Order: sequence, then structure tokens, then C-alpha cells
Amino acid sequence: MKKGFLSVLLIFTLSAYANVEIKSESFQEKIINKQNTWVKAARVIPGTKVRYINTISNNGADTAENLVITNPVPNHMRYVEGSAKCSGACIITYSLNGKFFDMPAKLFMIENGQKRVAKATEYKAIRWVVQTLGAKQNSSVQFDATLE
Amino acid sequence: MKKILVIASMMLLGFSGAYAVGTVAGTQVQNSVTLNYTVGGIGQTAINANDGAGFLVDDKVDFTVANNDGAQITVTPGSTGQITNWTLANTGNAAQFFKLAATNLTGGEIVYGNADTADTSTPYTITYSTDGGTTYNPYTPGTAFSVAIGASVLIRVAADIPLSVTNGQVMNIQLEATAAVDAGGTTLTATSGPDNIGSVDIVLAEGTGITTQGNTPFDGKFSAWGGYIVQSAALAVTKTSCVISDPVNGTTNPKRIPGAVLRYQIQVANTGTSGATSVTVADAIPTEFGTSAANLDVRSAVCPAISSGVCGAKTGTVETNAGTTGAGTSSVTLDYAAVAAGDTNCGYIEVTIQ
Repeated sequence: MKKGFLSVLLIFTLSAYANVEIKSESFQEKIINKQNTWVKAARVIPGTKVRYINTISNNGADTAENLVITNPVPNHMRYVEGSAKCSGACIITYSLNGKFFDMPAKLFMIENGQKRVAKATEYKAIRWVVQTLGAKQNSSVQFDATLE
Repeated sequence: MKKILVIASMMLLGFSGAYAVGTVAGTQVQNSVTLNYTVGGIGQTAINANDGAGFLVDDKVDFTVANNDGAQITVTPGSTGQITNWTLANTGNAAQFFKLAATNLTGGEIVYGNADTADTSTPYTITYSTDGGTTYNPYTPGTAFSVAIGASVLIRVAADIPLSVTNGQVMNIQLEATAAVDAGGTTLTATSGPDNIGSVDIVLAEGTGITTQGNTPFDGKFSAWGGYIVQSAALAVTKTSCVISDPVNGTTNPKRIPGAVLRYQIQVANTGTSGATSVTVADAIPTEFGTSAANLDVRSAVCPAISSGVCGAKTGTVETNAGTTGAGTSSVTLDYAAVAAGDTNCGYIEVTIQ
């Protein structure tokens, strides 16, 4: 009887999982047939705006919770103000050092001895917090950055 | 990849630091993202992902050419090696070869407010400096030289000025730089077709320069205009005469009869904008005067008008007449030496009618 109970418990534990994956892609804007289209980032020169899209997929059977996506702004790139978004509900915060994240109004820099609100181009990382991602569901977060 | 190797191996020239050029061509830019999450309140293993290898920054070929003179260079007819000054700046994100071509403008183009009205002699002699003007290297037409990222070179274009140009004429010229593949001067072209994410493509991104000379945006060429303006002496010679005396009337209302003494006044007026030097006037004495030429001199600045053929007193300061020769002969040379801009100098010869 005891052995049978353990078997049931083990089956129950194994079935409670969320097979979450994340995929990162980079795109750039291109005019094709007079239409602005986002294509795979490849011909990138200083000044080119690149859009980074991170797609999260929950292939498991259970809901994933408190999904925290942290994306350092790539080297040589400058974050474009207001470009961070998510496909559903999320909270977006930013960091000047990759460690401490907060809202833009609470990020400060010291310049010539004076404290000022940090510019978006000074952000070093972006963080999205998505409360839940249901089983078999997808979601995405994105931001734009310009090559220095 | 070939482009990267070329960039790494070629000699980099130019004085540095003047221009922000952005991320260097060939740099790999990769995005990395981390996902943390929980399931049923239990933290799961963090997941990392990136956008593959990211991308390689392509070669943004960008540069400018400018004339530094601020106005046409003042030249005199017949002068040689007259220099105009230019700057070629590499504002792209890779070291870049450039070749140069200087040409005459021929269509009345207006540069610094002055329309083109004449041409310099050609070909031009071009030199360039990579050390801020300390030394200039000869440029061989058709070849190319490399300019480092963010650097610029000073360029001199030297032209000979035709003797035939006149005061106030304008000779405008164009200097065009063309991006090249290598020192051999092969013209650089943009990478065509779809981008290859794993290679450094060529993107021509320079502006138009002087569009009226055929440069279009992003054609790998950039040009600028400068030029020369002629500042020279403009001399005019006027010869008049009066009667000093005759054997019958003496100096009272003398007439031009045999034995009469005449005075020739030869004015040299300089209406140009530059002084003239080594000015001489040769005058062949007519046979009717024999070898009577006498009292030769040249006087500066003041040329009293001769009216009614009556001679007044000669005025003005006598110039040094070391080169004035021919008294007592049939061939006279008057030496005016220097005639300043705006001045009129007078030479005098007295002769007797045979």
C-alpha cells in the first residue's frame, strides 16, 4: 500500500511542469516595394536601428509564473527610448549597471556633480516581468537599439 | 572576411581623432537574454538565449571633401604651382582608400560668389599630407591612398596659370575623391543583392558633395569646389605730342615746321589691381626726326594733360632713368620701372623736325 502511494505521488510531480523556451532574434527595417518591413538584421552600419524580439513559449502542461526576462543592451548598441514593449501585460524596468532595475524616473546619473535623470541611451539592460504564461502559450518582448 | 583582412593589414594614414565614426566595421554584435521563472512557486533553471551569432557591422563608406581657402586664391597671369587647399575626411567606420581627381570647371559655376570665366592650365599637381601639413606626399593620378578611421588628410592642388588670363578672371576647379578598393585605385562599389549576415558588406553612405558635377548620394564620390582669381596689372599706353618751339615763332604759338622741337608724352596707366614692374616702352623714332631724340625722362604719378598742342611744364618726380636709353638715336627705350595699381606714369621724348 505504501509503495502504491509513492508511485502516485511521483507521477503527480512529474506531470507538474512547464517546458518554457525563449528565442531571441534581431531585425532591421527595410523598404521593400515601398513598404517598411522588418528583416533579419544583417546589413547594419552605424546609425542602423535594430529590433530585438524575444519570444517565450510554454510548451509544458502547467502555467509558468513570474517570468523575468533580462536583456542587456548589446555592446555598441544604444537603447531607443520608449521602444521596450511586450505582447501582453508586463512590467518593464531598466538598469544602468545590469544589476539594479527600476522605472526610468528613478534612474539617475551624476553629471558635473549634478544628479539628473538618466537618458534612455544610457540604459545598459532591460527587464520585463510577465506574471503568467499559460500552458501552450506564447508571448514576446521587444526593444529597439541603434548601432553606435 | 576579405574586407576585414584588408582593413587589418593595410597601412593606415591620416591624422587622427577628428571625427566620430561609430562602431568599427567587422565588429560582431550579439544579443543575449536570460529568462527566469517559477512553476507552482518553485524557481526553475534559468534559460539563456541569443540571436545566433548576431551580426557583423558592415562597412559604412562615408567621407567628405572640402575646400579650405574660403575664397579664390589670388594669382597673376603666368604664375606656376599656385596652390589650393583641401581636406578629405574619412567619416566612415573603416580605414578607406581614396583616389583623387582635380578638374577645371567650365560651365560658369559660381564658387565663393564668383562665376567661372577662365581655365587654369592642366594637368594639376596633387600632394597630400597625413601629418597635419608638416609634409606633403606626391599623389599619382589613378592610384589611391588609405585614410584611417576618423582621420583626415590635407590636400594641395597646384595649378599653372595661363599668361593669357586677365585681371578679374576666375578659374574655378573641382576636387573629387572616390572610394577605392586598394592602392591600385580600383573604384569601390557597394555590395549588391541580399546581405550576408556573416560578412562585412560595403555600404556607400557618403553625401552628395557638389551635385551639379554629377555626384549623386551614395555613389562613392564626393567633390568640392575652389579656385583662383586673377589679380594683375592692366596697362594702357597713350601717346600725345606738343610743340615746344619753332625757328620762326620761338616758344610763342610755335608750329610744327622743320626745325621745330616737339615733345612726346607717353602715358602708361595701370588700371589693374596689381602693380606692374619692369615696365619699359620702346619707341622707334621716325626718320623725319633723324637722331634728334633728347631730354628723355620718366616721371611718376602726374601726367599733365596736353591741350591745343601747346607744351606746359613737365611736372612730377623724375624716376630713376637708368634704363632709359636712345638719346641721339632712332630707337628710344623708356624705363618706367614699377607702375603701381591705379597709377599713371609719364615718359617724355623731345625731337626736332628735320
